[in-house]
Amino acid sequence: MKKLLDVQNLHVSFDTHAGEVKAVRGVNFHLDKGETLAIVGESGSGKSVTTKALMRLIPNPPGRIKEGKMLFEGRDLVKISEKEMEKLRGKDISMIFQDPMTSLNPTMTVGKQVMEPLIKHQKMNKEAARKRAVELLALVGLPNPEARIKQYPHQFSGGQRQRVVIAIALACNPKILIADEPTTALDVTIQAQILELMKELQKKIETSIIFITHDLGVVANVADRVAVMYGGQIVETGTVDEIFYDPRHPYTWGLLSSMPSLDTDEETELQAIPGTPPDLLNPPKGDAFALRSNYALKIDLEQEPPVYQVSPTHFVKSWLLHPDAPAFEPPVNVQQNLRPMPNNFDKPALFEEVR
Amino acid sequence: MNVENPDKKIQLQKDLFQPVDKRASQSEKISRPSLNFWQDAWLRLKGNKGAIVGLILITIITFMAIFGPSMNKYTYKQQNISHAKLPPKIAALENVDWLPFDGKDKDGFDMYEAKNVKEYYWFGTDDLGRDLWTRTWYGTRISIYIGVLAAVIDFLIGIAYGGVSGFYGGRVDNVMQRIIEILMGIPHLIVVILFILVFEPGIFSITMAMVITGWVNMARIVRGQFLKLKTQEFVLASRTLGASGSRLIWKHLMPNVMGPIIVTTMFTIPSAIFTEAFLSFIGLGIRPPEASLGSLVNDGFKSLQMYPHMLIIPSVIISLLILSFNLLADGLRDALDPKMRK
Amino acid sequence: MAEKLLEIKNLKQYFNEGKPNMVKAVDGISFDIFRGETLGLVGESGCGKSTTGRTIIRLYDATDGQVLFDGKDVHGKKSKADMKQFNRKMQMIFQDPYASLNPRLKVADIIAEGIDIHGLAKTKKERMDKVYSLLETVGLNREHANRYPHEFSGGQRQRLGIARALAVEPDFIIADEPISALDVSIQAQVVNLMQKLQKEKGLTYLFIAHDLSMVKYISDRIGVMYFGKLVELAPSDVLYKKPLHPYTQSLLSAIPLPDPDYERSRTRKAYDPAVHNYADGEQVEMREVAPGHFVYCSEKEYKQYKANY
Ligand SMILES: Nc1ncnc2c1ncn2[C@@H]1O[C@H](COP(=O)(O)OP(=O)(O)OP(=O)(O)O)[C@@H](O)[C@H]1O
Ligand SMILES: Nc1ncnc2c1ncn2[C@@H]1O[C@H](COP(=O)(O)OP(=O)(O)OP(=O)(O)O)[C@@H](O)[C@H]1O
Ligand SMILES: [Mg+2]
Ligand SMILES: [Mg+2]
Repeated sequence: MKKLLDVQNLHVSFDTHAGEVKAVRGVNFHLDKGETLAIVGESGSGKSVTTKALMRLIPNPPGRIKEGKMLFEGRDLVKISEKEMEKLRGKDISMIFQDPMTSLNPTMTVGKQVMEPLIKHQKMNKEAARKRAVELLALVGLPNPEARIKQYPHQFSGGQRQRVVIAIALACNPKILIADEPTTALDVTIQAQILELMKELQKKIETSIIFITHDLGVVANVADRVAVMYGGQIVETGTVDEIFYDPRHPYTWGLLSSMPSLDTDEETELQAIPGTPPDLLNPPKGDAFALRSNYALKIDLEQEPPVYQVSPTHFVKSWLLHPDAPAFEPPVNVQQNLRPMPNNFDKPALFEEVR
Repeated sequence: MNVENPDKKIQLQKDLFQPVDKRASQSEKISRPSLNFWQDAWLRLKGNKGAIVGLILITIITFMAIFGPSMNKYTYKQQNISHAKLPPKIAALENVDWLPFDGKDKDGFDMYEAKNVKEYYWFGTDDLGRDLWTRTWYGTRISIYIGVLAAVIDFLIGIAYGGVSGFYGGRVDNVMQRIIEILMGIPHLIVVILFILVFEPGIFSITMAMVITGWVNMARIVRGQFLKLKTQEFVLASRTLGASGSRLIWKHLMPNVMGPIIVTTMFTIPSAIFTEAFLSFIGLGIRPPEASLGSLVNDGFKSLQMYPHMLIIPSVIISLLILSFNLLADGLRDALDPKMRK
Repeated sequence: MAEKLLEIKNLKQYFNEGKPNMVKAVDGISFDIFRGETLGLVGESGCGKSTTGRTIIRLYDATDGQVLFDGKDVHGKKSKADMKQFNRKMQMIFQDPYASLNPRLKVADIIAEGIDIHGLAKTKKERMDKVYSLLETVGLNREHANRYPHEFSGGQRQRLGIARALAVEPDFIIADEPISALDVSIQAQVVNLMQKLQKEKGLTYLFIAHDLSMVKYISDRIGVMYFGKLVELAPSDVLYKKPLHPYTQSLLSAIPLPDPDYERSRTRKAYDPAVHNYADGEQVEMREVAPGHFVYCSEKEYKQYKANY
């Protein structure tokens, strides 16, 4: 499959009065056509910054893209001019933000807001744009769109507003849709509807989706592939099955075992990840997760781990996969779900990051 | 993709692959130095050049307002007609050509020589021969007095009124808000003019007029903040612990509105100073022989053509004063704004 | 464990009563909480969970109904001393770790607030010793006492909130979505801590949440709320195995679980209140379908549920 987006060695920093916050420290990932990549990780791990960098929406100052490439259909988004970027934004790449309350303009009718990208990017005239806006709102399941385009955001419920935001994001049939926690602010029932909607629309218009969340249930539901972020780096990527049924990184173990499943009984204690996330002002030497890991090796405190490849699609950044590392058992609740993956290599192989 | 044999690629000693102890306790450590809100705000304020310039100017002007009038032997009302309308002359600077402190008027004519004056009038004299240095700093005193007065009124009446209104809410708040609306409805100038009609122009009338209306803005801000904070979870938590009303106000609400209060005060001060200057300029304020920057500007205005120094000096000082308060207020707003805090 | 610690009888909380924008946030709910148990309360946003908790602890004055704590009515007229006594027995943990700690106070003063209000420490040293031991109880260390809340992460702040509540040694704690705002990886820290404290101190919890897998894990019994009403109340595993009320079924079917296989096969049921098709004047109330399993239903539905149980 052809890579639609290929991010290589991305570094993003913020210069604050306390010093340089290294929010993203060498991130590599790619996105294929039509797939959904979920990015998970705890708060402050750099998920939003990574995707904002893709949209070139990092406020500068204090932020800047220090290093790296973001190849979109072969063009490096780091290098192109702001003008060209404007043409891409909202047309080829669009974004849904977490808070449906603040991402709509309260003083503009919903219809106008949906029509805006159509007029700007598709060069539609007003009438055509209006018609398309009605279609789009119907597409996202808003009842009676003809009448509702004349209303203002405050006349919509949270779930409806998020639907409008999705309609705006999809207006120009973007090739990439970035959704930054689009359902975190919503109820489970509404969340379920929105997720179903996104999947259905993805099939219809063949977009690729980057889906940020920290709800592993949502990940299991929407993702084709998963990238796990920790401390500004991607520590593990793989298909959903690989991440849930054959995780290799201790942080992924921690994430999976800190959530009870419906059949975890009260006697089994949850495996909490102790401590707090690293301060990206002075990221720890070596493996950023070592200080909180039950599986830390001496080398973790000294040298940053390389990336190992477990299967053609499964990459892990951890010393635990080194042949000399002792064999560790993952936590019990992870073990329960372990199963052999068909595509795994016989033995993890060192993977060179220069691709 | 290059897949290589890991053993060839990385040669590392085996003992590096020993497990190490868990250091969870260490990972709970906070490495950044502890800064409280005010220290943090001060750091940010320090980084704001405008605010620091403002702060320095305010300090200098205040210092001069306090000590300036007693730096020479003249008083603010002592007249000497034979020394009237002299331009500025300062001993150390009189030989610097491009500075206007050589005692020459705008045509280059040395007035001090012509009138046979031996003394030096640093800022010159006015048309009654009163020393402008003394009068200017004396007027600055009035301006600063007005500024401080506005701040005190804000604090005493505005905070108390807004606080009570916001803290109790409900019917009390309703009544108090209506009163504020009525006060807001009456233009400031009308209140002042009323006072001047009833009493007489002067510092007392201006003070009273400000007491009546000056605090309204502050009261509204404090009330809004109180209403917002009252439903915050830390206040609820304190209530479930059984905290008394005064504890809630002094421990939880007040410290959290201090930021907006300070910012509001810093913006009230220059606007009060300006109002006083304006009133004095149109003749509704300070009466001679008292002086305020506004009335000095007014005096100077009459002989603008011939003796520009009489207008320029007080104008510059009042502009600097207002500008520096605004600069500082702007800086404080940025430094204290919680939205900027992570 | 059958000793009732708290009895809630027909509790109502209406906001803006008598005005056009009246909200019946809590509309006549009744349930008991037994000593030493954890009762979970779930439901979608705005259904009145927080209002229930806040009314029980008297942050709001109830519109109607009774709350009996240890057999004594909490909501009647009470003297200041009685109120203080009550404040010590019942405490609350809040949802938002960023809004629930006063940003201008040091951690020591935040935790010691209850100690100060109730005069639980005679000397400064005793007060600080208590603060240190509370910090250690919640897994933080004594150096943290002199810091300000903004220096802590979400999970640490939430633990500070727990320490503050524990300072007055309560019997009963209302936890209003204590983990909703936290990262998955941090949630377990707080849940484990709450369970440890329950064991050690015999605490009773009312645990409000909308994450159902965590609620199931921590609760002995779960109540499901829908628009101000309790629609189902059952022991937690029963609720998951045999949800009776259609709303409960819909809610359970909407939760995504961290298991891709399960997710591929999960189908969602929508809830339409019209399915009940209640006749006018039909008596709809909480009925005990099986021992300990209550459902809000009509007589007809009751018979049907009972027959199919
Ligand atoms: N404007 C900024 N100035 C300084 N630091 C910033 C700024 N924006 C983000 N950061 C820092 O970058 C890091 C990564 O933030 P990011 O928003 O990407 O986290 P996230 O993974 O999206 O977390 P969340 O789940 O909370 O949204 C954080 O440590 C944050 O403090
Ligand atoms: N002080 C108040 N005044 C008026 N209405 C209120 C007030 N507090 C809550 N409400 C309303 O009461 C209803 C129940 O609110 P409540 O906060 O109890 O819901 P909740 O179940 O806790 O929701 P969430 O999961 O979002 O916290 C909502 O419709 C809300 O708008
Ligand atoms: Mg984010
Ligand atoms: Mg709530």
